[in-house]
Amino acid sequence: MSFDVVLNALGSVENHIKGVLLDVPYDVKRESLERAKELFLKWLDVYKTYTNGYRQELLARTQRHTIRMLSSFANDLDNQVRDVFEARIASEAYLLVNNLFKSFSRVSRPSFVLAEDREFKQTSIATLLNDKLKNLTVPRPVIGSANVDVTIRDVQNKDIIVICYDQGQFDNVFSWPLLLHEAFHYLYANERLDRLAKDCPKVSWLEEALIDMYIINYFGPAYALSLATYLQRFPHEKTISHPSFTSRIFIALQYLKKTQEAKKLPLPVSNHIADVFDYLKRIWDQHKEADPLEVQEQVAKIYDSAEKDVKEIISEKAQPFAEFLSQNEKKRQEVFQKGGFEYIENQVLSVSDVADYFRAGIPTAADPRIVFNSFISRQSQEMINDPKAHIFVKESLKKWHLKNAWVEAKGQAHRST
Amino acid sequence: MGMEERKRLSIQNIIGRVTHGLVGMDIFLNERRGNDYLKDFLTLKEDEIKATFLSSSSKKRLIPSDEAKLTDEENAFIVCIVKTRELIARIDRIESTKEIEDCINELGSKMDIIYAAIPER
Repeated sequence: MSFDVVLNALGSVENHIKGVLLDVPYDVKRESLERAKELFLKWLDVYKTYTNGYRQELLARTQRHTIRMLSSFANDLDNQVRDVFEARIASEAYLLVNNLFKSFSRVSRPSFVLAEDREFKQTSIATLLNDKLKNLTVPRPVIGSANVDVTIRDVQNKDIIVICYDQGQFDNVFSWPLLLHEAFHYLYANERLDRLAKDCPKVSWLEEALIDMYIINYFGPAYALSLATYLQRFPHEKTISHPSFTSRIFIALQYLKKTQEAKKLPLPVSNHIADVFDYLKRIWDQHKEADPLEVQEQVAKIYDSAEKDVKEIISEKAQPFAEFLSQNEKKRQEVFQKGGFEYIENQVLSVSDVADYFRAGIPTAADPRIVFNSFISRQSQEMINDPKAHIFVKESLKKWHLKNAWVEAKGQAHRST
Repeated sequence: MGMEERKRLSIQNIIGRVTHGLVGMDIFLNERRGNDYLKDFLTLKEDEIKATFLSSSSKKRLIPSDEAKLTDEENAFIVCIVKTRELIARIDRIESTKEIEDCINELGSKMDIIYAAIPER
């Protein structure tokens, strides 16, 4: 038995990484996967260095144990690579997440990949590598230790975000708003949004609660619906970093209640919000006993303390959902009055338009927030298991992406003449 | 990070340090000197190992109040690690190499069983 078996296994992983074909339809996905490829190859270099280091030790009796340990790391890396490059989620999910980063990143849009996992979470390739190296760090084989440090630093410098989704949800487009929650963790850390926490109760799950608030205020009731539908399957799981299921539903209910009271939303969304509220309230009523009253009070306090600031911060970069929808409606009326609706760049579609197009079986180039919130009415909630609805959303995102590319290209052509 | 993934990484970490213990004893037999691998093994504490093996996810339990228990294999592994710690503590004074070789064999075979306890991805 020799270390060649480990090096051969690592060679196979290397071939898997290098053999990945990146003929994917969208630049954002292709570029991110290219970067991921580069980082995984560096990760592989670290393992090769370790293997060569152990190989230099004179191990008469324990070589097989070292080979087994290193082989299990090679296997894990292979699985990690597959989770990213063979992720079954549709490519259009990249468009949705990318739009969030484009809207909210101050400096440059971060790179990210979507990966299959057992749950929704956010991490990065450097973090995953560091977690693995905790098992190998002390002591390192003497040979090549300096190279390992350089490679690790390189991975950290070129790091990309990994947004994981629950593998069971890979074909459920209506769970995609949950990807936005995970993506927002990056923005929360990098855009210093933790400043909002100043007047909030100091609970361990505050970041999660604030991110739920952000996303629901940005993306609207469609996020509340996704969250409740997904979480109600495992209602009593909670961790130190996450508020309980009922608390998260309670946050969403606060938003829906206040939005209804403000009466700012145009029809039919204002009516649909009542449907979403009823849906969440039914779930909350069944489970609310799980949370002590004290937690509900903390959640209500967090919502009240941070709501104004959350909306202000969203407004700096984009528009909160209620304002966006009203503005969208206004623009749509203007286009109808002025004419020119036949030009794609002028087309502004409302939730009702999208619903009409869906009934006609024609995908629309509407904004993702409009598309997802076209499926929140009680009637639509019954259709979310219909494959036609899933295809419609994916194709609509594709069409919206093409529209934006067209508008951009036309703008560039116009500027250059 | 989910409970299962955390547990998986923690068990891998323990196995990594046990592997270092084995490597360290092997090197000691060849070179008759202490080494960093042995020091790494000595960072393993009985309580830490027990806590790791007991941290199975509650969601997998049909009855939540069902108290988590160590399996016989896990218990035997922990006992063996404790025994190995005692041996390594006096390794400079051991005259017979057989005692160390037996320890390598015993700990190695216990670890083979524990590999099966790593949760699948």
